[in-house]
Amino acid sequence: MTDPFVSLKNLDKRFPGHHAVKDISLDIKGGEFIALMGPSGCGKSTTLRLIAGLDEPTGGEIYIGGRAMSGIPAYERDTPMVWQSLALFPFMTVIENVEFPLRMKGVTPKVRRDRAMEWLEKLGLGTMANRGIAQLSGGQRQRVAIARSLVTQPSVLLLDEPLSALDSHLRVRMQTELSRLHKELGITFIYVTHAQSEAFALADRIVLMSEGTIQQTGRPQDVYREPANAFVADFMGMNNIVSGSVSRSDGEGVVIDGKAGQFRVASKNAARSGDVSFVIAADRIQIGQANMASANSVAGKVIGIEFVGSTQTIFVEADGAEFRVQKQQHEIEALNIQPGSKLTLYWQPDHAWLLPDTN
Amino acid sequence: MTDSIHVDGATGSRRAPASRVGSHSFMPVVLGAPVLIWQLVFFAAPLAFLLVVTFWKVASFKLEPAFSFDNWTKVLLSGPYQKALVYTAGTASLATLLTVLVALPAAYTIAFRLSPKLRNLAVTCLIVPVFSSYLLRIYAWQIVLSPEGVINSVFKGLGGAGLSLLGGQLALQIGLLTLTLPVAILVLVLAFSGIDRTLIEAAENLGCRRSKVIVHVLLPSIRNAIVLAASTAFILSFGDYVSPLFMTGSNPPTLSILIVDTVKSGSQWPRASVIGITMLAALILVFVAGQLLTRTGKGAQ
Amino acid sequence: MSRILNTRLSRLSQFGFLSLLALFIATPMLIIVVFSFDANRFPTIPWGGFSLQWHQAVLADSMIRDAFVNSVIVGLGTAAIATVLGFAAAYIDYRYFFRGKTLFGLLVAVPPAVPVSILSMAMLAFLSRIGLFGSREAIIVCHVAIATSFAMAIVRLRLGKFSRDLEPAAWNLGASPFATIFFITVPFCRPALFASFFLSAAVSFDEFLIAWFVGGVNETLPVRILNLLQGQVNPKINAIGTMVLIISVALVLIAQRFVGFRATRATSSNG
Repeated sequence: MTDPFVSLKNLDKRFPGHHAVKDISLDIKGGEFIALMGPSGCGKSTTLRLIAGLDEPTGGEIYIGGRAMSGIPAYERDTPMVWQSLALFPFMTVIENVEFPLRMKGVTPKVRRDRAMEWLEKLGLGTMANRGIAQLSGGQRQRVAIARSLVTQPSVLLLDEPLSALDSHLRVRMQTELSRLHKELGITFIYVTHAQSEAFALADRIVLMSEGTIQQTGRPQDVYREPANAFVADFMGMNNIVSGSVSRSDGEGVVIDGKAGQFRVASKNAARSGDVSFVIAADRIQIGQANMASANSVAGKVIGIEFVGSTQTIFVEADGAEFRVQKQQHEIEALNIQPGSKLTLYWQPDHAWLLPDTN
Repeated sequence: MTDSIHVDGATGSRRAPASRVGSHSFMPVVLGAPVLIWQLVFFAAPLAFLLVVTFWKVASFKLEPAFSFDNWTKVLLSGPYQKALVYTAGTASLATLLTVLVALPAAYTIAFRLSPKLRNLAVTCLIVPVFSSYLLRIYAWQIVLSPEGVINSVFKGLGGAGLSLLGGQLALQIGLLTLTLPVAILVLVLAFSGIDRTLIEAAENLGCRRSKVIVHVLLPSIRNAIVLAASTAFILSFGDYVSPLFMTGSNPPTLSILIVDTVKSGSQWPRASVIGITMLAALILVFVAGQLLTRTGKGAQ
Repeated sequence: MSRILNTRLSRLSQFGFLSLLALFIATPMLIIVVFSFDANRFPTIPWGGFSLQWHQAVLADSMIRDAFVNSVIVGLGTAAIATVLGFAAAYIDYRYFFRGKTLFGLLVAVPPAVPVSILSMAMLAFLSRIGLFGSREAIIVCHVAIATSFAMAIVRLRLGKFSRDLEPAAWNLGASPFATIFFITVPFCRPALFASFFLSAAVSFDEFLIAWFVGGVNETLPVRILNLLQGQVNPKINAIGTMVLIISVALVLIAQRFVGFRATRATSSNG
């Protein structure tokens, strides 16, 4: 299946006083695991609701399996969704919840009971079938919600921040479970999340959104290492963005005059002139004297250290520019770095990434 | 009215207004039209018709459409009506005052001094009388208070003289309180129960005595509920028909008594309607005044 | 020491006050029940001895039996219609925004606040104009106009706990909007619907002024009682009263069980 299975064409959604989705287009292949990412309010959940038919687009078209969806109500779409709130029906038992979509399709009681049971067993809930929802743990409820969405054997599954209510231990286990299900079923998963770790662990491709538009689409590692713009660079991790102007360019890249010095950028897209910005990830900056001539280096003073678990972020001021450097705690301790310490930072030219679009 | 039901999309879903796809606008119309029509036809229309009738005439025992202010001037200027209005308003005011004075300490004790079990029992015991057999309970008071009734029998048995308990403000107020107290106490218990205990603890930590806590913390925070309880008590006792009928034998008559007598005995519909409409106007006035009172309260806080 | 004594005295007086109040509220009901078993014709002290004769007389009275049947039919009819309309009104209030929504809410909520003396006169005047006077149906339509207010309040309270995601989730799983209401919303509201049914029945069972005005010759039980009360002292009244009391108290208690209404105290999170 190489044709796009789910296709958004110039999709647009305005609410009174709020333009939630602005003219986005996206092709999703059959069997792909795609993650819609972005900060809250970026339009990712609205996009999912538009695909499900829970909201009506104010412009554009959605195609699923080649069929235009406009005018087709939610209940005729077969695009089941796993909700952030799970949205389990509290007055039904576990198996009644899972049977519900089959019951709505008019499947006979005997058949739907068997099929629901099959799915409950597949998700390890075989013994819970007749329990009430209130008697289940968070993880078990999550599985019921997933079973309920998959029982009709849909060709696309929508997931709206499904793991955000779980604690971190359970979340990792459920990620594994979702990954396994995706491989086993071979259907399209469209997964909305604001958590980078989930998107990276699960998705074949991520779509990063901001203020109703798609900022970048690509494999997680590509988006991470090769951000399309400052927003993506900022959202995708601890990145330093350095601005300057291209002073010369050769076969190996460009040399940029910045406030804190001259820097060489050798990323594969480095063939530009004029004012540009480049990105250097905080974890790719080394501390100490560079042992190769081609490396970029700046001298600066530590103005603060932030502890986040076992990694630490050092804030370094160099000629009016601020660099963030991420290191393991033991590395920092070995170098005996304190606020006020003077040090030199360096990085490889091919670790820097020239932002393609610079305003 | 029906076509004014137009859907802007559903209410405050956190993420986005809910869909229009799932609920075409015929859904609210299908659901809303019957109840809207029912209330318009069987509640609003009768009251509107009542207003219309006040301008009609009665000719040879039959109602005739007309547009005359005769009924209004006749009723508003008549001595019995004015007396009944003053008497009814006075009685209702007294009942309201008594209700609030009794209900406040009672609700306070129920909300703060009873165990959860007893508190729920108390609430049940208050809900039951609101919805059951007011007529019978007033009749029971009649048995208790009548000249040969329970209280007088006990008094006479003890060698005392018979008291005339029925037929005065005392009996009337007992009857009205039977009607108003359960509702008023319920409203206040709910309001007291809604107050965050930390507020009280904080005040007591700051060295406030209990009596001061009540005056400075509790009463101000249930001010709206007090206004609601009071206006409910007034509305109930102002319009009541049963207590005046059985506790004072319709003497002196209240406005409700005048209405029922006029309707049941004669054909003076328009005049009865005038009385009804003026009563409604008075009640709306009281209610609006109560609302204004709570508004200014909010502004001052 | 005197402070503790003061507190004790204050508590004691509070409980004393509450007991008196309980007596005030309970006395009328007790009087009716107790004297319904009194052998005397006139209810007074001393008690004339235990007797079931008035209860038997009530059961033998065909007018009372007819009135009872009327009351049951009117009560059930009112309860059924008011519950359906109350659900619709509550659901619309929960689900939709539209111009005139406040007015719509008032139209349903306000009727119980209008004195029945005025309402009954207005309804009689209007219903006799449109030819719907003097029947059980007339009483039902009027009682529904009042009882729907209570039904709406009860259902709306329940809908307050209805997650905004559940209906979209049902559509998402293939349920049409009507199927969603039928399979999801109504079952979720079931306890509140039962409560509305019983409370509406109680409201109708207890109402006599409107029933007296618009019912014509169709007397309901409370109207029969009213007519008996306006006549001579009749020892049967206490016996009917006892039966009516038992029925309406039972209806209210059942309704309250379904709502699970509690005056829960707001407490601090650490207390």
